[in-house]
Amino acid sequence: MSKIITIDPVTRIEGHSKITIHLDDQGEVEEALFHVTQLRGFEKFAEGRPFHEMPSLMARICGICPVSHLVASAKACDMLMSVRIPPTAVKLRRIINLAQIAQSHALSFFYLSSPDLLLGMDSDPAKRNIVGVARENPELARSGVQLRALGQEIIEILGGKKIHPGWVVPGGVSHALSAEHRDYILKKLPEAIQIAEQTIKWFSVALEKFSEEIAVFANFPGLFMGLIGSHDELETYDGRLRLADDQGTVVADLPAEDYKTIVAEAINPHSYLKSPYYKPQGYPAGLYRVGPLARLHLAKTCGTPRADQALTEFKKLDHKSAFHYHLARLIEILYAFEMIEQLLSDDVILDSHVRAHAAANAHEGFGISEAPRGTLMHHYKIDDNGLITYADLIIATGHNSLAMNKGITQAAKHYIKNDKLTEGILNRIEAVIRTFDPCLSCSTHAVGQMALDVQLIDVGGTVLDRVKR
Amino acid sequence: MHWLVIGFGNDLAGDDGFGIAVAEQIKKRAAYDLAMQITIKVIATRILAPELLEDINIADAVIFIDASAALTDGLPKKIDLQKSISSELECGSSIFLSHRCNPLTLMQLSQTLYNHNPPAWLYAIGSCHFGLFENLSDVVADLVPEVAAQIIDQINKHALCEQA
Repeated sequence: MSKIITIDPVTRIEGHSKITIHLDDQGEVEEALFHVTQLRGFEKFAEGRPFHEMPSLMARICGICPVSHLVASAKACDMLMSVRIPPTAVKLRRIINLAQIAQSHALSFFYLSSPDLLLGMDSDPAKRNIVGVARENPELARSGVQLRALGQEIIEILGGKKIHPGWVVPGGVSHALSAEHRDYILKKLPEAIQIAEQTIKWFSVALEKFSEEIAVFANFPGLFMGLIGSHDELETYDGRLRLADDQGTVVADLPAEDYKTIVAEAINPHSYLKSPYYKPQGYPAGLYRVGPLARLHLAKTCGTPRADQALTEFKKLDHKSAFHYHLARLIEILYAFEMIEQLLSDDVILDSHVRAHAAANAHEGFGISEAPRGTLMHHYKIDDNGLITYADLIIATGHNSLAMNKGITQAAKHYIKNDKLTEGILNRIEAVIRTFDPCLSCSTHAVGQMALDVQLIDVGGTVLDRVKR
Repeated sequence: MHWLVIGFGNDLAGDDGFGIAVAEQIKKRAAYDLAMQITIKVIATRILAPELLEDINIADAVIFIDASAALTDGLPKKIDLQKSISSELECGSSIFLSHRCNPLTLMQLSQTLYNHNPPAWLYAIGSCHFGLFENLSDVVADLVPEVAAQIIDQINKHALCEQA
């Protein structure tokens, strides 16, 4: 008979989840499962609503990455309207999406993961947090504050507010960018770029301390998926959908709207999170990863000078390890601010024509963008009155579901020996999940006062070991 | 003197929207009711996160506004946060498990990261109505103009003292 260890809730991630670790008769780890314990009902309650409401409505799915939903949803609506949106609107959408990526990555790296990376996986859990980081390395903490604040400020300047802006609309964006705002953002970017570069340098050296974690944090062969530009450059707004293996061999490259020809979704009884997989390889063998690690694995270039320098070094790492999501996130922060600078430096960015107007001209629309955590898909169908009859969303964290489960199983098998648990072991298993930076909350990321109570229970119900914090 | 006023809470969770409502009212009244020499930034936000430190770092004084289930229902309370600031960084707030802060943690982070420790107060209202609804309860709604007036009064009095 098996035994089960439960980590409930998983901390320092966005949303509510738990981990169960299943032991066999010999007390060895059989498998570990990542359970998302909250339900997102947006697909269902979107039904019957006018399609043009979707971007603002869908943005409410999440308080961390609302802009990503806003962009993917608006793109789906563009297709329903059958419009080609003005070029300036495309650039402005790109900028707000990049700002979103930067601020979300800063949150993940500096606020949620840097305590493990700076203070150590086994450090006192009472100090293993951003306050502990502030004491130990104030400059690192200030960097996190500054980078996230700038990402959010850019979103606020463009969208009117930091969280749930409604500026991205079907057909483009609701209003143009002023020269004053452009100049203000441009003035702030050089310092942010410098901070991102410095943090990459620091973390590239710090990586040497984590060879064991790199070896067992979801380190296995598999596929990587993401959008890719026409010159194989990093792409976050448009482009083709590509899958490649860990050696870089492309296994699929197709127009993004054809995603259903290669992606199917499995449902697991243990979680509200669906598990997409690569159809030709079947379930669960068709496991793939998305997000910053996948994007940088797929891209031959970032298209910005400093990020490209960092990418050259990143290419030397073993991309099979999810631990390298952390460095990938830093490189994408650097890329985001550099690319925003490039886009703002083009005078066309101030063009006043930023929206195309039309009623519904098609019954089906699909929108895709790269969210901070990976490829995000919105797919709608409408009736003759423009009312939603079908909505299907595949969120980035869902794409990573199979990889996260396999990853925590690998780490649990490596660290849990002889039925004994330590807080450091549990933290490492949580940290595997943190590398993926899952966003489970879908409109709320409040986790409140968390307790962690992990029990190892034998067949007869006897508690063999317990760790509580 | 530059004041920073931060009202926080979830305006979709009943009385948790109290801080937002007071902040919005102060925004509207600031231009008419505050003394000329005062500069003020009013922020209405769902949660307190570390990036607010950038605003705190340039403020001479900070006021937070919140609703709390821990206080007596319907009773406003003013708490001087600076009196706690010299103590060791406290543990146990949700910042240790997510990216949310409480006012005290934010002020302590300000001290640690920027060596900036401006006077700070928390205006909190007790309530037990935090369900999934947009409106404030009648008792708490009635207190919105009262607390907004108290804050404006505090800021104006401070300006008068400075002039004297």
